[in-house]
Amino acid sequence: MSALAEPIPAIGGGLRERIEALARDLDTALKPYDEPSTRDLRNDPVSRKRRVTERDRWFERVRGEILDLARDPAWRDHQLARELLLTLEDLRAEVALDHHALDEGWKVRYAMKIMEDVVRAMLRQLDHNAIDDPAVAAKFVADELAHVEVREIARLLGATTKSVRNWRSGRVEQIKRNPKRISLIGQLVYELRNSWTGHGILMWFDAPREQFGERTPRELIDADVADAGRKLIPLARGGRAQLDV
Amino acid sequence: MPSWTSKPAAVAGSWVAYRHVADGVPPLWHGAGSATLRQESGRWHREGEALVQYLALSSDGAWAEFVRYEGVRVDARRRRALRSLWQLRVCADQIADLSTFDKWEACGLDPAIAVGDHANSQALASELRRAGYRGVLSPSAALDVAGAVNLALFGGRIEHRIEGEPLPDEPIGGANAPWLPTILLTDRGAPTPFAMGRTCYRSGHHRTFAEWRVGRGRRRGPTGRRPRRSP
Repeated sequence: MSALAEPIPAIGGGLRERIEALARDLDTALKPYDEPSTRDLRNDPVSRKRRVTERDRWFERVRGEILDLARDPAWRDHQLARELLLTLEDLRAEVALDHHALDEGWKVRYAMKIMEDVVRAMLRQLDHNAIDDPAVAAKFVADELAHVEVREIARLLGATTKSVRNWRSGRVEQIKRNPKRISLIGQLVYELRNSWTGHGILMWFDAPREQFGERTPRELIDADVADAGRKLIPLARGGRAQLDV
Repeated sequence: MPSWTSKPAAVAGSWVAYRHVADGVPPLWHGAGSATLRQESGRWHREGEALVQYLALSSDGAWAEFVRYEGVRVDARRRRALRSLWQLRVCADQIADLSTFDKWEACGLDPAIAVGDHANSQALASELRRAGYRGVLSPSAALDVAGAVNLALFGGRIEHRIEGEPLPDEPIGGANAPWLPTILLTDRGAPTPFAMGRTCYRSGHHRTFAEWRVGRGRRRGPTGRRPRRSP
């Protein structure tokens, strides 16, 4: 479960839980595809029948979960919902061709992995939507940087030390001071948190960047939050995986 | 019309490669459609054009890519990185062999493109794809060490995670199949001091390339032309 699972007041109906359930279904489904180890088991009709029945039952469950999500007003018109439905069709086609439920060509698993990408993107989308709310962003940053001194976090967010202490203890009031700055920093911390320690994240904001004429991310944010967002979000996102730059 | 005068050699092989990603991020690029296939531009592709798997043929090569991207210059930052480092087995053919500056030059290509600005290498990548290459071996721009090579694979690939065993020698589903065996070496790793010490930063001076140019000048003589071979 994501660290942001709790504070999403705008989305009801256990939407996150439903998407997480689908992610778990996909994750576990990739494991039963370990091939039976002996030739006899592979060709045994009882074993085959059991495999096919279990696989078909699994597929119907996943299909139901996906259709349920795609019909939800929160996703009905979303591009990710369309991608999810298309991957469902790809998976259905591969399952239909896999008569022995052995997936010897690794094509069913391929379709499942691509489907898993879409499901994970949906979870990330929920997180980003939540962090757009400065109150959620403030608590998120205060929690993620739990080992960083309060005054450093306050300086980064443009808030008072009292506010940061309140956020850490779960008391988040409406954010009136620097809401756009706090949301942007929340989105950046979300991207950086799996690459750096809390202090490493703080140092990221103060490291001069060649691509910005040796200006630091903090200097860019101080100068213009909207312009900094356009520059820094791609920079932080690009850091998720190796590029040759 | 391709920019090369002589086609790069298309090699087949099996390589052990390395790649760093954020914790929890899949080690390879794959996705369903435009909403899940947003890979930021890199040396061998423009965002939205195609997927490319950027791999290094040494673990220090992968770390140097991180150091260069993030502009890590001091130990205090280096030690605060928490990256996953993956080891992968790649079996592929139709890989353009531009693994040395000499090979670039032999193809009539400017070797400075290998370590320089991206516009030229992105254009070359489009030509390579159109010519049917599945990837390219090229000197590392980040790890400034003689013989440091990166392997870029064109298109999506999918990880098959191996645990408790060494990397298999054989590919999964045959050569060029999308599945690559992968091993997670660390999920909270930091670049090595060596990698940071030998990283060429984006605005930096690539010593290995500079030394190659000096050596080439010596080989070619003062006129800049290759010495004639005696009959």
